[in-house]
Amino acid sequence: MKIIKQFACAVAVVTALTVGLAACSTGSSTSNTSVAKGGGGLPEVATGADVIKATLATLKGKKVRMVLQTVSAPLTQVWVKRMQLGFAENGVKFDYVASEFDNQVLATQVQTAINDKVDALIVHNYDASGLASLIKKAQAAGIYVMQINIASNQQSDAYVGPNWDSLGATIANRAIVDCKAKGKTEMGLITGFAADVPSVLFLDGAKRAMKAGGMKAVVTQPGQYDPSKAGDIARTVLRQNPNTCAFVGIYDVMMVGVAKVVQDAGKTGDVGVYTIDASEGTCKAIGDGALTAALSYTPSQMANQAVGLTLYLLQSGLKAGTARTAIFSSAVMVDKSNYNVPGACYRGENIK
Amino acid sequence: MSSTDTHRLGMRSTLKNLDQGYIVALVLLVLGSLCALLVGGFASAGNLLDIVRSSATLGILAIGGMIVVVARGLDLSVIAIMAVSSACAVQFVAAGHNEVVGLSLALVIAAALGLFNGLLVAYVEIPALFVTLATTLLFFGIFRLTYLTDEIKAVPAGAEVMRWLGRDDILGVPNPAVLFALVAGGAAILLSRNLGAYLYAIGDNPEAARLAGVPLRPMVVGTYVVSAVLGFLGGINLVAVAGTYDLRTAAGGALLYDVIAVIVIGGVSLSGGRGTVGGVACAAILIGVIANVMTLLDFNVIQQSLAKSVIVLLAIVLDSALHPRDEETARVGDL
Repeated sequence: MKIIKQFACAVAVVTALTVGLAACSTGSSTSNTSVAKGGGGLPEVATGADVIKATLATLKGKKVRMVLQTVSAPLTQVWVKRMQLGFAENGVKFDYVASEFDNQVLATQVQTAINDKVDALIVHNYDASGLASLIKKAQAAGIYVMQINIASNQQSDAYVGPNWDSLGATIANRAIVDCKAKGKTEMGLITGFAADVPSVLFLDGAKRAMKAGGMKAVVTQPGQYDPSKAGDIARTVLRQNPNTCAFVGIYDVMMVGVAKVVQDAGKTGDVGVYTIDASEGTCKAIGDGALTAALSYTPSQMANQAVGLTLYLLQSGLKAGTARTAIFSSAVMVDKSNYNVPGACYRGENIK
Repeated sequence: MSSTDTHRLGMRSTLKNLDQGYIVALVLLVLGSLCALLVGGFASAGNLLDIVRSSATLGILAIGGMIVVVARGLDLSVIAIMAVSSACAVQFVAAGHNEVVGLSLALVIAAALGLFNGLLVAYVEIPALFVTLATTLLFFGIFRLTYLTDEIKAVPAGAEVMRWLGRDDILGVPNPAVLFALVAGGAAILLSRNLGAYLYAIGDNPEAARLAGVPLRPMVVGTYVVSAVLGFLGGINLVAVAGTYDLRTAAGGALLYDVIAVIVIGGVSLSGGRGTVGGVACAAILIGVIANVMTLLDFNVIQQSLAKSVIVLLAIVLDSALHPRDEETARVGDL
């Protein structure tokens, strides 16, 4: 009888321990999901089917909006297309609006997104100081804010885009190599608006590379992203400094204006034209010999990175405004050796 | 009153009566001479022709704007018309149409847009400022939504006329400079005839001009059509030189600011009735000289902004000093 009682007690204790441990285990799992700082909300061990189910359940009903400068440019069309595909695959509702380069409209569109209570906002912000209060307001409302291509000084949850400083140095280095092969040391640098974030960083990188390479900048002027203005600068410089061996600029469409001036002056080949960005016309210009090389900042990869990071933030459980991270897209040099490789230059997409 | 005092008053009166266009020409001459002495490479024939070439688009647009302003109007939509009509021309050629047909169609589009502006101002009697501000957005929006879905497009290889305009020269003078000279010459002749006298009369006092038998409304409509056509020419020149069109140039507004600055610097009264083609052409070249010198001296962006603002302010102060506002000049519509 005593033995039976001892056995019953042992069973009861073991059962209680088992139930208790199971409860603790379940509790810790629940706790992980709710806190999940930096995690994805998935259990430590899960089957593929469980992962799909849990992830889609977490993302169900989430809304992401992109506020763009324009949807008419090939660059932004590539972004939108990749994002449409990426978010749809994960069951996230994605839409976009464009301000058509009007910063007041851009601010209104960001405010509207806050009012619409979207879960994440991807902003194509041109202004270093613009939208500061709206970014903070959105984050206070629990909206993750990501900036693409250009980052403002007010840090959002994430910046995804080029490392403009590195791009400036890389494209300048390419021009330096070609100039040195010609035994020349004079180059021209053409920025955007001069004080915009990409221009400042591009110039820092390019000047650093030129200093290290023992090169001289015969001109550092803002082409204002305008092919005509950039062309005027190049024409004046070529006349004044016939030893100029290269023009390095920040934007391919603008540098097409420079390439045309060099071509019209009969100096194609003698004077190299180098640019950042590689949209559709750029590969053609490289093929024609008008442009020497273009440093692509891979916009489709940039968009995929933005999708990935947004999906992560939506599942992370992190408080909006606390992530403050940045990732840079890859840079790929496009020149005569690879301009006709499919995908070397990006094309506009039909996003309707 | 001594003879010296009389002489001083005479000089002052002469200066007051002197058109600001002559003063701008004088400023251009002085600045040009100084640059020739101090800035290496400035005075070469090639550089001087480059200055005129780079001033051509701005000059052509400003002459069109000036014709409207002389008749007491204002055309803020000229940049939108320039952008959409020249972009349409490029799109037509890119779509495989004959270039001459494409250019002609684009010219008709520009003229039609100018006609629309003119009819609203002259017949519906809406102030020009509101009309052209609204039609800027209207024209741009309609074309962007319908035909000009590409924001940027290169001039296609088969566009021989545009290639010739942007690249070649006539007797060593770059074609854009020739086009600018032709437009300036044509406008100067137009304004020196009866038609010009009518425009100045409308600008001075529209009601008196109408009572004197001037066909007021058709003339006003005509000024907007001329401005639009010159907008088209300026736009074609721009895409021919750059080898591409970029609609963001129009959206930015910087070019419109430059056009208005050139009109004001050139001595055109924004209240109408005063201004010469020579003054506007000199002002456009003056802006070109400043840009050229700043590139030659490699001024940074702050120095550039400072130099431009000082020159614009000086021109406005000079205008104010020579033509002080009084009850007669401070009219409704005077900006």
